[in-house]
Amino acid sequence: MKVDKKPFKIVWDAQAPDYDWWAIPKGTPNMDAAYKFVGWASQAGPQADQTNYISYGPANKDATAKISAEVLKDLPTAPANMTNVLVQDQQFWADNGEQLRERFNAWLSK
Amino acid sequence: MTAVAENLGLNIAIDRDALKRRLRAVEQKRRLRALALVLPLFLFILLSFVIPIGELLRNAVFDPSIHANMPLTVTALTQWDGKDLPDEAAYAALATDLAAATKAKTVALVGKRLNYEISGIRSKILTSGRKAALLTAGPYKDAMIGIDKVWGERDTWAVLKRASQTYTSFYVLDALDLGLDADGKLTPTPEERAIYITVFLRTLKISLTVTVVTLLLGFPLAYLLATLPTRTSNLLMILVLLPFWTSLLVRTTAWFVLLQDNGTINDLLIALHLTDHPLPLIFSRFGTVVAMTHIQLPFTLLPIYSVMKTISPSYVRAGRSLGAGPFYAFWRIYFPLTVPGIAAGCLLTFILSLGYYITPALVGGPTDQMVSGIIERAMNSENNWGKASALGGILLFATLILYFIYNRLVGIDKIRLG
Repeated sequence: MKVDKKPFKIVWDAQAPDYDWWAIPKGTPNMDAAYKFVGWASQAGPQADQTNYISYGPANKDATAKISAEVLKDLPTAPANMTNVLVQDQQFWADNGEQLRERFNAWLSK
Repeated sequence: MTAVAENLGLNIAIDRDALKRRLRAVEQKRRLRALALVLPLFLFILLSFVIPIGELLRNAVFDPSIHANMPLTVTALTQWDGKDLPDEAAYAALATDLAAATKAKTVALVGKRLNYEISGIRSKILTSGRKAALLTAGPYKDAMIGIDKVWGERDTWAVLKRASQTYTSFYVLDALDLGLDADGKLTPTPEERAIYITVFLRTLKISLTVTVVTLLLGFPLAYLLATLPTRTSNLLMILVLLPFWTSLLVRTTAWFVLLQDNGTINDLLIALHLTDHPLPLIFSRFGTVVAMTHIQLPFTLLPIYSVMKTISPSYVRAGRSLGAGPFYAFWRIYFPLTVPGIAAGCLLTFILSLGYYITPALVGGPTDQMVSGIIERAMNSENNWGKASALGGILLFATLILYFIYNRLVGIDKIRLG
């Protein structure tokens, strides 16, 4: 949007964040290296550096201090943008998702 | 003279036996060669078709998750009569099993399995497992009910007991919108959640519609292709086969562009003043049937065309010369000769249409989801292999039943592809 100078603005109120994870496959021969990598990637320095390439909010809170204000205002985890966050209850969806989906589809078919 | 004749006779007899032996040897060799030629195909079909489908049907009825991960509880529940709550020993077994499963990280499988029948119990089982690991001594009954009220309900134990068997009817019944209640009686699923029968019937209806439409469109086209001179007919044949040169997804996306509210067709209709606001062509049954017909048309057309090519024009001419009107000659002479091709084309299109899920998902509306879409979601998103296998198995049996009815009406030996 910025590069193409489009007249849009992100509304951060009631944002619904999505999450990413690191996963290490069970029984991998490179377990130590994998742990080392995840440890390194979770540090404040690399997390802050990542925002220079893509505006993903860092998971490490200490990284926020290392990010320039210019980049910070576009991140979902910036304090200014986190005033009203819609957190997804994964436990609820794991428990009830399938049944709710069936009900929804049954209702759609009527 | 007689001696020579006798001698000759003996030689012929000897030759006859030797001949029979050699004939048998040659026949044996020929049979072995035929077997060797068929063997690779037979093995391929066995490995890629028979064994996977056998596994699929087995997955629809086989679920060892409770039996394998809660062994003590399973044994304890064999003593339970099903009325009221189980005794202290069963609760002790439950606590031990849950603690062991939590430690072995298999408790989530137990939670997942029971969650299919009692929605919401999954997180309760995970919590119970964690807390049961902290229990050191009895009385377990009060302790477990204290951890979560769900262990004081007869329903939970009834479900647990039913799920203890490795061979279960749960998935197949659920796929038919049925269930077993706490007393083991057959009950229909609550109407707000019952979708599977509707979806099965819808799948059959859409497939039948597509088959009929492709037949109505394809038969005249095949006739045209079969009766035109070769050069024109070859050119037209290339145009018919052109869709095969692009991927299915590309063709479905092209229909998107044509059918959408500000797409080509609606723009044309509005420009011609045939309508003043866009017609809802996309995201509806119309869109689904049109896109599927476009993809399936060559499948119906080509067998009919091949059979028509073998019909000599002199038959109809003979009928006409004997006084039959043009339609009568067509209906009584030409059409019955094309029935094998029609049967082959329609069967092919019908069975292929049963498996569509991308096209209805892209251009269909909310009431156009077909059963294959539900199977795909059960496999990839929900990780519910039992449900996917049960739905697949029921679809397979429904198809086989329809195939047998088809055989009664048309006769499989009458089907020809050319």
